[in-house]
Amino acid sequence: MERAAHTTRREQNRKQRWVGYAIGVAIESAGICFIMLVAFAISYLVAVWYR
Amino acid sequence: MMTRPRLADVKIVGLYTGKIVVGIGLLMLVPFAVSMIFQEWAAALDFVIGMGACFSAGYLLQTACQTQRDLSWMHGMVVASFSWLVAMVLGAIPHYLSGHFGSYLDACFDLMSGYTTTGLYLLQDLDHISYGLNMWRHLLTYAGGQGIIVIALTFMVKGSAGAFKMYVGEGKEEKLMPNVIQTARAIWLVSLTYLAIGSLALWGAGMLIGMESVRSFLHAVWIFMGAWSTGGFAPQSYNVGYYHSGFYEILTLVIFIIGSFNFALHWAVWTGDRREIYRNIETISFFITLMLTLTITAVGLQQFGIYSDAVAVFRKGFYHVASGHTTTGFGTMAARQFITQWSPLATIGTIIAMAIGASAASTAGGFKGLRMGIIFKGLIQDVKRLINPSTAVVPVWFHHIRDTLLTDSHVRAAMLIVLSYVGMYSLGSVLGIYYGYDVVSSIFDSVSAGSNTGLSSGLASPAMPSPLKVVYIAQMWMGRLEFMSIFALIGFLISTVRGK
Repeated sequence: MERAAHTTRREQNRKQRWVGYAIGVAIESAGICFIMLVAFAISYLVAVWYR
Repeated sequence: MMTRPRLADVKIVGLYTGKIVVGIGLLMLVPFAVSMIFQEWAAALDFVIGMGACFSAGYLLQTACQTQRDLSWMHGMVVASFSWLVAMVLGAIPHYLSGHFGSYLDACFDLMSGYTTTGLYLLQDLDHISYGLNMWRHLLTYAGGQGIIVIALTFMVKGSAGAFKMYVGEGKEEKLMPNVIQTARAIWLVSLTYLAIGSLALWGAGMLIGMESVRSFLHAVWIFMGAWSTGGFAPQSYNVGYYHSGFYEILTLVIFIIGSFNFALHWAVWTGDRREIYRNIETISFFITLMLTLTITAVGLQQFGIYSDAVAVFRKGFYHVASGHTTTGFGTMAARQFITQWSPLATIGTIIAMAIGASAASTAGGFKGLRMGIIFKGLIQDVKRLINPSTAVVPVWFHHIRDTLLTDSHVRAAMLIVLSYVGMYSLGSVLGIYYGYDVVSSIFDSVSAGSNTGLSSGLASPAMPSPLKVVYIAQMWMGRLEFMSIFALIGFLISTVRGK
């Protein structure tokens, strides 16, 4: 029984770890898109202002 | 006085180089399998010969250099730099046998470009090469992005204190886990997870633009490998422009920007430290320098009024600056357009972006954002020292995974590496000018090779002089390994001759 509980705990830990990885991927992708858009918007506005 | 290396030192270097060479041979199994699946018998034979050479050389080195000693710092550094050279020469065999190269030097050029995730190539008739060779080109750049030492640490080398020294010798210092072997495996976990997600997304995008399913899948995997490793290799000569798809371009943009970040940053975000993404000195530095170089390029493009709307500026201007800044080298226009269509200011903006590069301990090259941030913080510290009383203590901190107090040694180390890069960029530029190429093209391609970017102004081609090819190979090698291990190899060779 102890072994079964240990296995379940290990399974849960593994699942949690992968959920953490998935959130990490989502945060990184969203962060990159945000950086891209802000950097592009600022530089484009400067260029339009220059023109 | 220099101490002459003993036979035992040479044996350690030989033993570990042998293990890495066997690793390169094992990698060839993948393109060999692809060639067999697509019934490309000639290409499959090229890989059999390549694997034979790698296994023979690797096992010969391991047998002749059997030793129980562990690596010292000097050995680790020498193995890292020497093994990249040996891996280049042996890995070039299938390239050369394919018949798509004018000489063995050209094949070695492409190999070094692949391993170092540069993306310049001298291969001829790219649009008609075999699936196997295409897989080998992209696998090289994917594996090189993680580092061939990282591959060896994952599969070939048992855990030892010396293993970390080889890892550092390859230009990485971050430990994601307490143990270097676990660190290497964590790097692979991050890369393989993104390989699965990114390839699926690109596969879908390829189908949307009407590509046939199998071809779309292969292109997705190759383009992912080229983007994630910031390598810039693509299966078609028109690079990413071949797909004529804004969606495809945005997907590659996201992949290569994520790929250009520090593996330690990925790991921190993945394991719960979400704030690291906006607190880390490298992401802040990347954002600022990307914005500055993009502004220079955008103003330069406005001078000539080439692109009429924001979408065109994004797809041409932003894409190439981001590709240059992350040292990827993906492009959506012909190489000569940088010189003939863009204003010099726009081209200079891209050159500065390439020279700066992306993150340390990532797949990218260049000065690296960490060093730019440290130098900037050092400048702030010096200004503060000037305006405060001479007895005042001026502490300045920077955040990179953890908060660190900035010391003069941090600034000195960062400055030394940046100066080495500037010297290397200058060497290639001067040689290009010497051979009669125009100044901007010479600087552009030299910075591109040295920062492992791969964008070209059209100078890097099979027709360029052989000494320039050799210098570009050296630049790619030095830029990827960040000098120290190469200085160690040079010191090792000199002390073999002149040491006592």
